Amino acid sequence: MGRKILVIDDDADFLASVTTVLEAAHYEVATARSAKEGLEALKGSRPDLIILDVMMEHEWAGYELNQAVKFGADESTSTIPILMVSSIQTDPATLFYRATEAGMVTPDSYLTKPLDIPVFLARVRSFVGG
Amino acid sequence: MSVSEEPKPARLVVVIDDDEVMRLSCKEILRKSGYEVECFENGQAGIERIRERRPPLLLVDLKMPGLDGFQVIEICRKLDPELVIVVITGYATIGTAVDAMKAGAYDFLPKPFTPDELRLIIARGFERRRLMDEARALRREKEDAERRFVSFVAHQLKSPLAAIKQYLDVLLFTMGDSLPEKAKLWVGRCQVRASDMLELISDWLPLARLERGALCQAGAASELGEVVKQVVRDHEHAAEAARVALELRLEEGLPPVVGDGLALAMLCGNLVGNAIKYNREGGRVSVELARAGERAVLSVRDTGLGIPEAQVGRLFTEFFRVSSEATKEIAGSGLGLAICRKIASELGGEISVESVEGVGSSFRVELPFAPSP
Ligand SMILES: Nc1ncnc2c1ncn2[C@@H]1O[C@H](COP(=O)(O)OP(=O)(O)OP(=O)(O)O)[C@@H](O)[C@H]1O
Ligand SMILES: [Mg+2]
Repeated sequence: MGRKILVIDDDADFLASVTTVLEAAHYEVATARSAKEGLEALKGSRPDLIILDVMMEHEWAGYELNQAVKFGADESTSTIPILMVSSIQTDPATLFYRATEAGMVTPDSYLTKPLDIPVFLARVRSFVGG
Repeated sequence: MSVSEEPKPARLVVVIDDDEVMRLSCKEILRKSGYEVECFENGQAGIERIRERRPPLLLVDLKMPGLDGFQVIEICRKLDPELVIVVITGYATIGTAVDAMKAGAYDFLPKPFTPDELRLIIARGFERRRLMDEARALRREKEDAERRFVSFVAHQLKSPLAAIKQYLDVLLFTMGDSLPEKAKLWVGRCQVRASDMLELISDWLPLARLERGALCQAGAASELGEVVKQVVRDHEHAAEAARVALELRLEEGLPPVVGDGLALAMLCGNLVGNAIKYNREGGRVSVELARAGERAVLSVRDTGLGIPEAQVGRLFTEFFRVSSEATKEIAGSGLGLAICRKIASELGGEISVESVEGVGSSFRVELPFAPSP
């Protein structure tokens, strides 16, 4: 039985291409088009990994969701690893520094879009195996 | 220039004159016209008050014991370049009035003057100040618009390109084998063009920000060692792919340097990126961070292609790229080093290079330590 991955991004094209690679690697993929939809999706099922875009409804939507997943009312989601992705190339150290300063949790990992597929798959594997 | 946080005393006139009768009559006349007036009998006291309250307008007598009007003008110009200064001249000596205006006064009022003359000249001074404030507000608005434009470009151009590139990558990765040869080749070419364009945007964005002196956050300080470590980590993959050995030596315990992490990472990343890119199989890149007196020294050395002597001087110029057989196939926009130099100089540091064609290059960046808080 494949591991479950939830991909949350407001860019439908990104969702489509990433879903294809992940499915080709035999993961089971669910998608959401906004932070809100993502939170909804988490009520129903428990993915083994969340892939989360930084900028959605607003610049920090991804980080807010990150925080909600880790420290929200539903404690059962707090251990799900989160891989953040963004098309803005920012030095992650600075990005995380600001995120921490803003009282937000840092992700377990961060990659820039477009994703380098071998690197991306290796990162996914490091979280969920497979 | 510092802008005080308190609301500006909008109608305040500071009067400096050693003649008591003058002070009293100015106060009388201007108060009746709705101005707030503060009078001082010597330059020292007046300047002190100007420093505290930042009035829009100063009326100052040129001839006074102690600090004279010219000295007051000079000090006030430095204190607040926007202060509108009107001088009172003893006799209608146009010569001194002109000198005062050369020194930075806006207008002059020859003694003796009527109340109407005083009111008129003060009103003109305030009008002048209002125009200056308006111009500044416009300038600021324009800068904001530019900043918004830059981040608009970042998001609106990069996101779709990233999406395109992602499709192409996934297409080749998951279905490459079932594509006809020619389709595969063309998809590959599209990938390259999309990556080049993404890289161009990434290079151009910081440059556009730098042009307005906005890339480096004012007053920021960072642990350069941490930044360098992260940059090296980020380049391990590329070095491996290029079969170049990447090594790092860090002196421990360096104080933080001036500059924010983003600017420093860009500076360091450009140098390490180049050292890998303009290298050859089996080559080496050594990154070293050490202390030299009151500065941190970052050096990035490679055993790569080197740079022809005649072209070394132009390396830091925007869009300059070495043209030779060896570099012909290597993509780039020629902006990396221009950005490096701008960042280094904005942070009060320096960047230099030594290179021997065919042997290798060595880039050296010196950055001042941040003042300890
Ligand atoms: N370490 C190096 N060894 C040899 N040549 C170099 C090295 N670093 C830079 N150069 C030369 O200097 C030129 C300018 O470098 P710069 O980093 O400014 O631009 P680029 O690498 O061409 O493009 P990009 O804007 O993508 O960085 C390069 O084209 C290259 O020819
Ligand atoms: Mg370069």
